[in-house]
Amino acid sequence: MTVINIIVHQAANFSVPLFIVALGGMFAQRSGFKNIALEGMMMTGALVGTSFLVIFESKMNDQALFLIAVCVSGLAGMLLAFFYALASIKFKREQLLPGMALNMASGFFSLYLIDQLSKDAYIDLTKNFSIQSIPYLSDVPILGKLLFSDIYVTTLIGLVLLVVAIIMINNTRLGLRMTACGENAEAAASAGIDVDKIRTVCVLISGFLAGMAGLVFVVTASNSFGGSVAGYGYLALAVLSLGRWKPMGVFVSSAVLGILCALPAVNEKAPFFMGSPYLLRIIPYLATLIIFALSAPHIRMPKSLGKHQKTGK
Amino acid sequence: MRFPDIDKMTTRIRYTWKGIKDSPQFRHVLASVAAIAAGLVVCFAILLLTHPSGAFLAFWRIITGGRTGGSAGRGNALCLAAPIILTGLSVGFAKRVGQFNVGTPGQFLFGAFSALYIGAQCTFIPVSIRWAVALLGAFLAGALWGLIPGVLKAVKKTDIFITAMLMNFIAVFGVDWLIGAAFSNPTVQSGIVLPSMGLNKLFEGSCANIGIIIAVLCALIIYILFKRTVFGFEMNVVGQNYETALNIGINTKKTMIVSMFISGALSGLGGGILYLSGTGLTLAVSETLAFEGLVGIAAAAIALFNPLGILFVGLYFGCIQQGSTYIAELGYSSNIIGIITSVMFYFSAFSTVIGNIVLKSGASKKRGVK
Repeated sequence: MTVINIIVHQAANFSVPLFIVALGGMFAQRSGFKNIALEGMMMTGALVGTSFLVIFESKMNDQALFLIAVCVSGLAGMLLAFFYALASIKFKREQLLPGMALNMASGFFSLYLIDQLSKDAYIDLTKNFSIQSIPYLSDVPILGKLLFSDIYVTTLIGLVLLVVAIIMINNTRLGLRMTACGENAEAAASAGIDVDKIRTVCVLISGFLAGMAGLVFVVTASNSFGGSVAGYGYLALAVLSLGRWKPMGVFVSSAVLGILCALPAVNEKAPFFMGSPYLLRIIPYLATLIIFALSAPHIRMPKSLGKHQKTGK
Repeated sequence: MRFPDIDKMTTRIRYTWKGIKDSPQFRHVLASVAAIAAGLVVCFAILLLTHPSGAFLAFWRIITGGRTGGSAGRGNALCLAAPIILTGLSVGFAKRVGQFNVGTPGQFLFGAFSALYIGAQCTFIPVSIRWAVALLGAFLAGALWGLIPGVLKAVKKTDIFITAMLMNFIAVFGVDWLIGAAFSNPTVQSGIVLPSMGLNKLFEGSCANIGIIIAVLCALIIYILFKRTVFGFEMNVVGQNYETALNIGINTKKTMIVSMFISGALSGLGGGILYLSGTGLTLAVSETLAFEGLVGIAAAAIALFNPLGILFVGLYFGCIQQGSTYIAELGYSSNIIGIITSVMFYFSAFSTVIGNIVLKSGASKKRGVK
């Protein structure tokens, strides 16, 4: 039983940040904006959020502090998204180059700040923000230990976000306009939709979610921030196309990849592989590459993805 | 006797200036310079915010490059510039077929590891030619890492950005594993050094070597390849319009695969050159992408993917990187160089807009005077 417990907990710890960042990517890409700065937004969020946690560590209730830090890191990701939108939407530049520049900038900025502020090469979290037990629910015979003890509040946030995303995309005005902009920007514009405005809003939402995911990654999966989020922002792009740009698909594919990402952590607690731990760390990337290559011809992406809306001028 | 007609001369000068001003090359250079200036301004602001007292001195040391270290500093700047030029050329080469090769950090790292492995472990090769074999190994290793995304793109039409990035992380953790498997200690140093070709006499006390010569030659060869050969033309057509390339009978798959092969090889070569140049640099277990690979992407973007432009921007980046090694004693982290390059990269994305605004405002002022 304990082995299954460990696997479920670690899989949740690793797949929730991946799911949140992929959901952020989905909002941007469904509106036709190829947001590749997810990794940079995650790093910015992680940097700001971790610093916030370390500064206010002993001044507040743990869970309240964690929730506030998640919001703060979301806002930090949003700041980066603003710069991205400025270059790619306002000035109509290509979407790949500024995104890559922002990824690099936030990575190097994190490294610089960590170098200046701390003696080690990383910021350490001293506290564990998991909820050890919930009254009544944790005492349920098997499920209590499996689902309701030693969990993070972010798992719940992830599930709520999934429901919100499904409703938002299928039933709200913004969601439908978003899809229209992603599928055919010219048609959307001729129907009176302000494509640039919709895309800007979507990129900002995407930045907020990615920034959140950065802090969630640090707290649940790695416990320290050393200027890298292990390429989750890029994995999210692959997860997104494997999930066919749909919330449910993204959820399933990020859960599967999350299990693969959790293998090294599972191995630490319940050893099953004796070789180098780095071999286990390659697995998610290699598996994504293979699945991605095999499924590529069948993927149908939003038609206007990565293209600017042509104006009549 | 008649004096030369001043009016005619000024008119001619004005028209020549107008010709230069409206030429695309001038705009490109202006765009690059604007991006670099913006990056330096942000760098100065960050220095001021961290420690206001030493900011001026630190900024001066960064922008003057190797000057603080004398001839050794200048030579080392060349030494650091070579890998950046090569990774930049790698990105520029792939851009010619319309692909954005972000796999340079992985190709660079894998090339570096192969060169070190051959340098340190293959003792059966005589020392006099082992550096050449090691560089060849780096070349092929990088090429392999570039080939995989290239083949996937050509055959399966996958997004090269995602596949190349995944290859990067496979390289990062793969090299971490290989270091543990092939060497006993976690930091790897090569047993051999590249020949200096007399450059150490020119720059005394430095580790300048054949690497910078290889880098410059590569830039020139690629420039000629783009301008004068059939393959360069085919690459351009494939990059500009894939359908047209298919229709006029270009083997697009072959062009794509060969371009990505060469692109990866250039990055791998850069990795080999950096770690064999005897700077005392060691390859250590790490979880972040290789610095030179990322900076190469920035250099290529700032130079607007032109091989000769990449050569100059790469040399400049080598200089400021060497300059940044002198600011540690003033209490600054040398990681600032990464911030500078990426800020320049960001501004290069819309520096043509800035250039246009500057030129337009100049023109309207002139009209106002009349």
